[in-house]
Amino acid sequence: MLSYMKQITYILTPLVLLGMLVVASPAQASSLRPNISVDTTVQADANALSGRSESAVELRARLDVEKRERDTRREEMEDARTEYEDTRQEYKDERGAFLDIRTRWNTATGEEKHALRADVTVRAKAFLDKSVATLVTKLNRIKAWVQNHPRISDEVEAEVTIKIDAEIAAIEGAVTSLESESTTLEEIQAMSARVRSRLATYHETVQEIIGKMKDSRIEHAQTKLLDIATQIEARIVYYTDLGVDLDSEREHLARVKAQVDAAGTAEEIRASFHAMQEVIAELKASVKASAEAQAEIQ
Amino acid sequence: MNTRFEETILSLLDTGAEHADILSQFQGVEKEDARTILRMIEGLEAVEGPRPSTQVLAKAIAKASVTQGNPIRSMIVEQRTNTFSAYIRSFITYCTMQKNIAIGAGGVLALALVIGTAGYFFSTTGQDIIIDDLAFNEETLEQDVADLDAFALDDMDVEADMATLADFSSTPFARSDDLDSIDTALNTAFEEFESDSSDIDSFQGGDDEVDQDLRTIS
Repeated sequence: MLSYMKQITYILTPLVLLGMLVVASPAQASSLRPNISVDTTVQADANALSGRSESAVELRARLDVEKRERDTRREEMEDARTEYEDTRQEYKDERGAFLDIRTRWNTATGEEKHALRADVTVRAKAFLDKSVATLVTKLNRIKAWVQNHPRISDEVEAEVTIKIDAEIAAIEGAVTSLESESTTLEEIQAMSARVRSRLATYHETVQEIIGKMKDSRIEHAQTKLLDIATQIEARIVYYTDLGVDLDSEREHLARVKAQVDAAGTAEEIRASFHAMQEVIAELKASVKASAEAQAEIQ
Repeated sequence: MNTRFEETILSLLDTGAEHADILSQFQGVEKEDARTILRMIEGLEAVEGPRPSTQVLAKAIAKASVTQGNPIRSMIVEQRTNTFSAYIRSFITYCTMQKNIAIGAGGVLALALVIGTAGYFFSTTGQDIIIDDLAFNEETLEQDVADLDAFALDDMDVEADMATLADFSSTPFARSDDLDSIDTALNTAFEEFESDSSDIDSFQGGDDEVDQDLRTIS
């Protein structure tokens, strides 16, 4: 009898341990969670209907990755903005310090003026350095925004990146010897003149880039509005089949679509958004009225 | 409710996904999340409350599926008609929802005991005893089913669900909530447009004085 008990114990012990592991395992626990909404058959059906092939687990994994990417992109945009604002503040501080010593230098004479020259050179160098840094960090901020923004097309991103990189190289190239300690005041003045001569091109480039960003924003809004218009059209067809008279809404929507197509400015896009909201409001009101009328008949 | 689901739902709605498609993407999520998802995309008051029962959630899902004529509805019916698998699922559901490790462990222990005993007889006596006869004979199965039914299926009222489905199917304007989702997508797109406009405007200026300032170095 005792030997039978031992054999039973030998058989049961690993099985029980295995069972406990199954229950305690987080992965298994997850797989045993109640399937509240659908089972795998329906998941497959729904996937077939929507053209998707990934499972819920795969979808969740993909969404996690996408969210991490979005967070990273937001951080990069925010870091670029912070760096620009910090540099702007440093630029203002250096400008104040330089103007202060420059005023003293201008009014000084003889030995005092000579003694101040070294300080003026140091402050002028720091001021020029921060001036260039302001221009560069602003360009980098725009580049980070374009490269990480979800609603900017790849074409615009590539084009803007090339322009900004070229502009940064040109500006930084104008102050190549700024790092040297032996740089004289005259050399700093010459570098400052080169930077100033580049500023006209810099401003043109910035305005051109901003123009492209605005155009891209409008194109994206147009695409979005027309996509929503398509969804509204589908609902109009659905309710029309149920006997709701929606001729007025259909015509209104057609006019709004034409308005969206023709929109070329931010104000025209805003007007299109509001017009589309009116269409939806009218559609809702008509559907509600029809439903209430049918309820009264019943 | 974590923001991941919110973002996912908004993103799917944004792309024009049907409600049933959205629901199907959240297969296997936690009960509380399922409730919130349903409330978000369907606005169903039925799923309000601190601890909605599985039956309430199932009805809410059934309603959502009917609005789209989606096979989720047929799944629910199928799940209830597929008796044996439904009972097993219900048992697992019960254990995991109640987080009752003791019941889960007890079930595993009982199963291990049956299999172990069967294995013992099979290996030591050499008799022609097959495991099926011991563990899964019809009488035992019926008893198990009855036991499970007693505590696991009390919230799965098939008739009530079917009545709900039939009642909801008779409403011709069941998709009116879709207009709200389109409205939401439109408002979201408008907010994005304004946000982008604000960002782009912020790139203007900020460097206008550099030219004038640099003249002071000369």
